[in-house]
Amino acid sequence: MPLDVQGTFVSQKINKIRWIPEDYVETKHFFTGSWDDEENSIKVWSFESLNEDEDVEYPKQLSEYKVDGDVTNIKFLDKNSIAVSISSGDVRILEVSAYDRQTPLREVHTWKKLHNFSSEKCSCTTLDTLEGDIASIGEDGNINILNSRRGDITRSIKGADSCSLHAVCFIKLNEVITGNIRGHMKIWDLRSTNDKPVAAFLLAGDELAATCITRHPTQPHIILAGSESGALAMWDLRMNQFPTSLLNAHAAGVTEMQFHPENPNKLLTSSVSGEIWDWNMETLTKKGLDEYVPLDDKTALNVNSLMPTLHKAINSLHCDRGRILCGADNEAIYLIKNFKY
Amino acid sequence: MYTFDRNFEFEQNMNFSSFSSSPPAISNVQSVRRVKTFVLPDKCLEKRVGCAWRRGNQFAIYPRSQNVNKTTLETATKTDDKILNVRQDVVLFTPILRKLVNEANGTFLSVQKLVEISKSSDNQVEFLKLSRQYRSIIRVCIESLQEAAEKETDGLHKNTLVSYITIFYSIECIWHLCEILYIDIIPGEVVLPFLLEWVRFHFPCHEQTAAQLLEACERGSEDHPEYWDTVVGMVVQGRVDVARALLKLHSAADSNEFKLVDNSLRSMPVYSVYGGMSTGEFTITWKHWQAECRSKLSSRVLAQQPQLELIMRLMVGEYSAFESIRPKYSSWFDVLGGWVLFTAPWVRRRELGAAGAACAGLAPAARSHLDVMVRALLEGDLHQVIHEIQQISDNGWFASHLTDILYHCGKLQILDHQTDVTNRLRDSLILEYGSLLLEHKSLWSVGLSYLASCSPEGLKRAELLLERMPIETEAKAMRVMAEAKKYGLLSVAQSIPACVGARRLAARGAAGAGAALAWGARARCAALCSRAAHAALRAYCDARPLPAADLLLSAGATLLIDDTLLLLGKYCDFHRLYKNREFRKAAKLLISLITSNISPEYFWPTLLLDTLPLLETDEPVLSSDDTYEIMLCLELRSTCLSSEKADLLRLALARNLARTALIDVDDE
Amino acid sequence: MSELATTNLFESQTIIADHKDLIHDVAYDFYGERMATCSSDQHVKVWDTDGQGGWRLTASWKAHHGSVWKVTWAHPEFGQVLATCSFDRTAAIWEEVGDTSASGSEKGLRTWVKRSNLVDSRTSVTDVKFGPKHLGLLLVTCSADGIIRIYEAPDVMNLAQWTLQHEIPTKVSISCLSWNPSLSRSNSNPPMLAVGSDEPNNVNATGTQSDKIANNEKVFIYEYSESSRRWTRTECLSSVVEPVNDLAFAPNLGRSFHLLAVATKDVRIIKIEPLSESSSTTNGGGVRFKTEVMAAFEDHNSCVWRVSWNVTGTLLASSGDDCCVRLWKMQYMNQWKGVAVFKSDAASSEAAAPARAHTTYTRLAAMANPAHMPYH
Repeated sequence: MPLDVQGTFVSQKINKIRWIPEDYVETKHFFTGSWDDEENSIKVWSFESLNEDEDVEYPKQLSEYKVDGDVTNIKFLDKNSIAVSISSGDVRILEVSAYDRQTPLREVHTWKKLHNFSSEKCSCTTLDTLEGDIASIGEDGNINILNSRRGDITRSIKGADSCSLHAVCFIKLNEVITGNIRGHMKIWDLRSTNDKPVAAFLLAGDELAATCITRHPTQPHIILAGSESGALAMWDLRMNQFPTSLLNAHAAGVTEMQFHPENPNKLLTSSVSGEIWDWNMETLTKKGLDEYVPLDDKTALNVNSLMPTLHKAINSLHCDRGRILCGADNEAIYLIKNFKY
Repeated sequence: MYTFDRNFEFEQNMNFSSFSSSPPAISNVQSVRRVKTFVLPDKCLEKRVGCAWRRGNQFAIYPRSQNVNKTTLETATKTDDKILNVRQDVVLFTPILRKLVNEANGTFLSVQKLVEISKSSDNQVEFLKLSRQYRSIIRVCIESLQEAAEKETDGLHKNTLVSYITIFYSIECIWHLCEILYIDIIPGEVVLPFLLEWVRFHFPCHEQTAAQLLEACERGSEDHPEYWDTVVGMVVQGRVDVARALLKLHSAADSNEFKLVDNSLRSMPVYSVYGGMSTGEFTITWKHWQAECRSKLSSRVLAQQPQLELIMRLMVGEYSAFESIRPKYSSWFDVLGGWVLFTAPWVRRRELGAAGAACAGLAPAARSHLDVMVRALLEGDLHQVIHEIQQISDNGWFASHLTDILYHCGKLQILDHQTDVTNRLRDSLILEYGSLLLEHKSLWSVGLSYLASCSPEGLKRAELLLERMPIETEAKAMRVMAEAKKYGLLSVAQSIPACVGARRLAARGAAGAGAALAWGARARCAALCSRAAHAALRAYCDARPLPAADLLLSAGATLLIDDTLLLLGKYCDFHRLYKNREFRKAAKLLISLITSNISPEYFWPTLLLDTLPLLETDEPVLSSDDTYEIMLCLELRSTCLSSEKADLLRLALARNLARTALIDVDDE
Repeated sequence: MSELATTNLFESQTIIADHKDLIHDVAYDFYGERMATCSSDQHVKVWDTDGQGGWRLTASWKAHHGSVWKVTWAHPEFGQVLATCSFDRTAAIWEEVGDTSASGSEKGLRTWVKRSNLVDSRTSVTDVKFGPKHLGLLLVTCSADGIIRIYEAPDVMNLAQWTLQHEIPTKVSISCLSWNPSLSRSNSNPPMLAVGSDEPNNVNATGTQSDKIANNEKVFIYEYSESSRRWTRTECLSSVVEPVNDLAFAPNLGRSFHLLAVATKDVRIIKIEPLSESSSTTNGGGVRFKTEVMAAFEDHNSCVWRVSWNVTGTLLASSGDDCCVRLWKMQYMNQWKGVAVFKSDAASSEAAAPARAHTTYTRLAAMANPAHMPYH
């Protein structure tokens, strides 16, 4: 079956979108987090068909949780709870009822103004989660490691960066990588007590921000970062600091990347230029240490566009088997069905 | 009561004409000045007032009763200290209508793209598709409004929703008619089938009753109270087959009178452009048929069946017959299709003015706004149409999108003293609409894409509005900059980061130096970089650690933006070299910093004293020439150091000179 | 289907300023997120939006020893900076300091520090304005004795240091001034100022008819010449001969002409078109401009107090003795028309529940107007 795209206008700019996983059935539920509006919120939605016999399903809002500021990221801690970063500087843990998705989200824990410029507001720009740990970063250049079970701050690296941080990713349990507004990447060993990075390198020479970082699901030494310029960089952490490849990909900033959960050779990316692409990463990730893929060689990578280019930014994507959700600045969400992986 | 409620509308009293060389008579509607008066709450502003604009359609009103040069003895009363913030209430910002705004933006951009890619070729089909897209967006909007109105329990909100529904019903109706008359592709220009479709779609009268009766299929259906109204309704809507089927359900259907009418209905010629008949031939056949009907009528065979006689009178296009049925309908649009069908079925789409006038004249009832718009449309006075639709309270959504598509498919021409001003009208509407959206916290990017389609003024406006957009997070700053760059608004892409950086520096001082430098580098703003560098150097002088070392060590060419920044960056590098015990390199760098003379006054003591440890290394690292340079600087700026420190330095210099005078430092 | 309109299109919100005397000026910052007010009670107050549509007082201080006439914001690139001018013959520069540890910061109060006091005037300072950003950090003041003073902060880091660059005597009492915000610095658009005089016309003036008119001119245009490094008067608007209370240049949208709104006995909109070099020389006498009165609205009755442009210069608000605010809009054929009037409800009784009006917007009802009646 060909790709099928279905858009729904939701009257808020969507900054993050996430399927809520189900155990045995294909999920119908998802979260959205909005940004850049007078009022922002996290909503729980369900795909429902209007008539029994109809094939098309439309998203229906089940609950709304208002937040004071932009929702900057949503990451799962387990199947029913999420860690949320907010531009007010807060980090929150919210739980959706496993039995009745319509029940309002429950606040499990809130770190109020975790990131701040003393009394001034400071955005918590994003976070990452791994096995119950949360790494949050902010415009204050600080890194906070939070324990979701105990609800405490286990480690705080003040002034990890003199500029604002915009991307973070756990490499392994005790190691995170951060990217700042000038494309500086730093790796932090959380066991070490000195507040110095164990490695530092540049995303690209253009001094533009690192917008997102992700690690390869099966080869944890491979790290990918998206840039504000739209470029995609890949590092093999076993090698030295230079990216093994730097691809001029999207026409404007990369907003989110996800490896397909079932097929690690598929990478999905979305961008400020309104594009959503899938990449065949086989050639890139399977090669040996000493091989080197020429830069800017996009054609060899087999890139497909999943949707006609939108006239506004696509901020987020999330993939569940053959179905991809994406949320955009034109205040719409899109469901792409029949994706082959 | 009918009110004009659109604000900020344009108005003109000049003689414009559209589609005709002679300007149409200006109705009294146009000459009315539409200035709206609003009553302010509270009795707070009794005397004189002042006003000040905020951004967007917001301003403040405050009492002001004194001139700067004439001190009066008036004293303030308690009511004089109130400030009123007034803002426009924009219906398009309600959540349901925001869907319309966003979706229509997509279609609007498709229209612009279409114009761009195919300037020469005829793409009427494409325009028609896009026009239908707009209509389906309106339809979806009406449906979601209806859904919300049904759910709404609050009376006031429900009323508001119902009034929105009314607004968009009218918009849908006018857009459809406009599409038929100007955008649709009509074979042979014969508009009748399209007109009938329009009437049936927007004014579905009796349709349900007809369906019920036909489904029941009972002889003697005339007992149904609406039987005859339904039959007549079907005839007037041009649904001849339905009307005939209904007549068959009458208990006297087999009578001669019924057969006669049925026969006349059946034999009515229908024009089809593919029917192999020219319009001339068709006109003759049709007139022949109507003459036959007329003779049957005058033979008074139907005298016993007044309802059948009425149908026959309608079929021959008798004005009084239409007059007699008009009160049964809420508007004259209901009978417009029937009137054209039975008086001039061959009429072309630009010749509907007379039919409109005839139907509108059927009842001298008060005319609604919709009446005025439909009349103007049928008369082909598009300028009047646009003028009228601007009165609709939709914040200009309809007027700007309709005008845009009509303009681009070449169907709009407005003249002012023989000059074509159509593009100015189109631009003024788009600019207005775009500026309105640009003020909204979330819809600004939509507004920007409208302004961008009206170069150059649109981009000038965008520049003014974008740089005033409140920026709360860096994510927003980056997004606004990306959008500004997309449209080539370089001054915005520069001023935004400069302001973000300035704010960081102001709020956090030296701690914000890193952020300020990062943003200053983005803006390539030397002034900001200089301020941030000064803040960092001063902080270091106050015995705090050097801020932003991580940034400075990798700043590269960015350092060249400003001299103070260059000094800071190089100084930072000096620290790195010194820490790594690369004393020779460190010494060389320090000397170059001293000799380049870019240091601000307050930083000289630091630079000079930093030479001390280098003068006293085991292996000499400063050459005799270097030492002379330092000495020169020291004597030139001896006031900046305390005398003890200066003496200490002099001693170290002398010692270093002594050991390097004969065996100088190897130049690596 | 006649009801195509919803009736409420404006909302208003009341803020109790709590000044102890008359308010003289209200100024919004560049973003419209902060509001400064000044008053005869010698105080200046700063209000910030609270993010929920309301305003919160964040600072209030005694700024002068006399009535504070005007308050104005600098461009945010220079930081959070205000300038005020007063009857006490001074103008002052204020900066908000980021020291959040100061007392009161927990309550959300900010500290404003006086960075400089400009004491050159010997009479009341009637207006103060920062120059366009691209000229650097410039400040202009004018005073009752008719002297325009232009100050510059050579180091934008140091707001304590202002140098008096130019002193321009006008010989008439000056009440208001406005910078031309035109962005280019080209020869055809050198830095430009307009000043307005509120000097009453002397009815017993002697001299010929032409002299009288010349003496009664109230609006002057000054331009800076890069070559002579001087400000010179390049135009007197002969069309304005009544005392002027306020004037304002419209933001320039890349047009070939400037628009100046003048609050005098009526609302005037004046088009000022620079003549090309060649035509100005042939004219002789260095005529720089062609001026034209685009509109003169007398709806405010006798006296107009303030004129204020929206951000894009497409709408002008005016206020006057008739206690109304009127909005004027340029139509697409360049004609100006009134589009809305805001007036106090004379009939209504004393204000209702003023205390809780701080954050709520009230919808404004439209008055019955003959133009809104159905026709026929």
